[in-house]
Amino acid sequence: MLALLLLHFAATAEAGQVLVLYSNSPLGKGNIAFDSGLRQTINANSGQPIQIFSESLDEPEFGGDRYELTMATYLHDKYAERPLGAVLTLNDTALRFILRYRERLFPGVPIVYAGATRNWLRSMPTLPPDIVGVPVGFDFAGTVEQALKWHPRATHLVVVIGASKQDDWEPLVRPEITPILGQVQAEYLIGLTLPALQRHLRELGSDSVVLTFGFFQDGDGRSYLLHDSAALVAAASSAPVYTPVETLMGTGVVGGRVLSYEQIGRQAGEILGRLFNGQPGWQRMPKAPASVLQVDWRQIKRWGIDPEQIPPDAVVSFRPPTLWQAYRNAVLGAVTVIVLLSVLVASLLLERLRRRRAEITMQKQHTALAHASRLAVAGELTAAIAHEINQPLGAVQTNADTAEVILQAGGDRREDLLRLVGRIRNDNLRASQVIKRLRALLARQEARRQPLELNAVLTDVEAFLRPELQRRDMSLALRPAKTPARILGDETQIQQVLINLILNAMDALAEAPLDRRSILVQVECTTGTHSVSVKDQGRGFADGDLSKLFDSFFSTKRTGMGLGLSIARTIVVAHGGSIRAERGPSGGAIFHVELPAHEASENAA
Amino acid sequence: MTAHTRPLIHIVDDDDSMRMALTELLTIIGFDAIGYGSTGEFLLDALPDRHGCILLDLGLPGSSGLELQAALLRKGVALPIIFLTGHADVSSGVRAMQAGAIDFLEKPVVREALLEALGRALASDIVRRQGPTSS
Repeated sequence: MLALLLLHFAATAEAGQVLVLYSNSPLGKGNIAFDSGLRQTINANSGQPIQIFSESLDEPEFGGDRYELTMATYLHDKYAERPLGAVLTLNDTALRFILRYRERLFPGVPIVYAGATRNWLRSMPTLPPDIVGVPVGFDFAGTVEQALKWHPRATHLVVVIGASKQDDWEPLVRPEITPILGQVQAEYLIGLTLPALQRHLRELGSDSVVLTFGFFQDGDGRSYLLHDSAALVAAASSAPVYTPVETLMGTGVVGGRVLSYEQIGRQAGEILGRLFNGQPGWQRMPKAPASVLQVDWRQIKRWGIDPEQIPPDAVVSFRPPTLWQAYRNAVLGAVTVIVLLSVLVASLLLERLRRRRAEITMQKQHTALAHASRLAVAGELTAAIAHEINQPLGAVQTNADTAEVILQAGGDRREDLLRLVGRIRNDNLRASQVIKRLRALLARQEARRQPLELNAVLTDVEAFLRPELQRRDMSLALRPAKTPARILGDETQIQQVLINLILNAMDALAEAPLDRRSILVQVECTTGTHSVSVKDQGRGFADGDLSKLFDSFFSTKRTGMGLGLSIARTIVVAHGGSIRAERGPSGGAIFHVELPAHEASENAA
Repeated sequence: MTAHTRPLIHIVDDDDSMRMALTELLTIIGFDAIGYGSTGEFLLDALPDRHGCILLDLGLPGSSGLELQAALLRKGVALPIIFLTGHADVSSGVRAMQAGAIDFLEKPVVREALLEALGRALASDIVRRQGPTSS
């Protein structure tokens, strides 16, 4: 039973198991990226689930023949019961190990290598046909080229190389970068102690750039993780540091053209997938992935590199996400809301402007109309006004004549003369007051708001209209309110409303019999509102006219302009009041004007 | 006696200062002058049968000067009338003159014009008195 189970297990495992042998710790940054890339593609291409085992030679911390033998024994024992479909090696060391122990460990098992460098492979004897892979090369030249592009004034390239055997990059680097250096001097710092290296790096000027690969060991024989040593180099250097090694990104280096281990992993996954799928020609290898420019945004800023000069295909790390990237939806929403609100605000402002303009125009028209209407009233009152002025002028003339006669007669009649002069002066004053009243009525002025008392306004109006009333044989009965009727308004305008209403009443009475030729004007105070009613017993108006009374250019009079009531209503409404008309109980018309009481004054009163 | 040789001028004007001024001027010049504030006042007063004329304001409260003229004509009072007005309109002037007014003067009226009109009115009154009544 157990045997059956094992057999079954072995059968399935054989087809779908792969061992990934790393040269160094599988927890390293590059190896993790490789693993991720591998898993992305291997199953998609294999058509079956592949089980992945991972082992590492843990270079450079561990090494040497004895260690490798131990590792070989371990792997032999560990995978004896797990027949593998393939072994995948990453980097040179793992491939070298497999080539050495393959026959004893995994005879006949296809080997796929990844990340093995071209240079190293060239130094090896030709590989058997079932060992395939994509050789890679660090892009030293591309990295240095990019560095010199960003620092055009650099005249000095410092290449930092560690002390261990694995650190010896010089033979790889020198031939590749020498052709592109031009006037730039290359200095190779090989196997310095850390303090010496740091001192040297600190003294670099702005004419230098540094190339590092990290190192495993310094001149004192101290060991480092590549990542840590690269960070020490970057921290010490007063010149920008570049690297072609992807895993060193983030240590403080500006960047470089690197091999993407994720991409290498993906490529290896595709090859293995095809292998497990049994596709013919799976051994045909793709080209090595091109190097990718990787940059650290923080270093771009630190060294003042123009972001415009970063090629669009570069991978930029450590760039704080823009508002847009971080909060795309929120930003979209906010922008939409802001745009909508802006449009709304703009349209409201426009609307307000339009309205304001219309208001100003209307006010002007209103002022002009009111003025025209007052002129019309003045025209209507010409006879009365002339009478009003000529009366005192007549008296002045006569008194002056009298004084002259007295003076011509001779004799001492000083007292008579003084009396006459006094009268002349009084009458003259009377005449000028008439003119003043008239001017106040006719003045074309902007509306003002001032505290007014309706009883007093009416008394003035009555005085103003008295001559006209006399001329027309009419009487005006004034019934003031018992308490002061205070409002806030423009005196001329309120006078105009009342004059218009009373003149209308007078017109309505033009053909009335003498006993009906009276107009009753009454002021009433209620809380919050004061009202003036003008009542006549004239011809009144037809029911149909009631609704049109306050329309402009509506008139029941032959000579009327039809503006009086329209303007009266405009003025009253502008004062926050209302005006209405009704038919009197015994014929005639009653006009009611209601105006808001001026509370402050009322309280004071 | 003297009083009766002086012509009596009736002044009807509702404007107090005008009425007083006219009264005083005419008195100083040598007429007898009586002022009335309204047509009613004038009609109520017993009218002495004396040589003279009426200075009548056209625009009076209640019934106007023209109505007074008509009323006097109806009553047979034939005293010549000179109209005074603060505002002369053609139709009133025509009506007044047609009804026999001596003149139609607009205020303010200068003394010469007033005296000239008074002279014609008094002359007319003399002619009237010497006319049908005396013959």
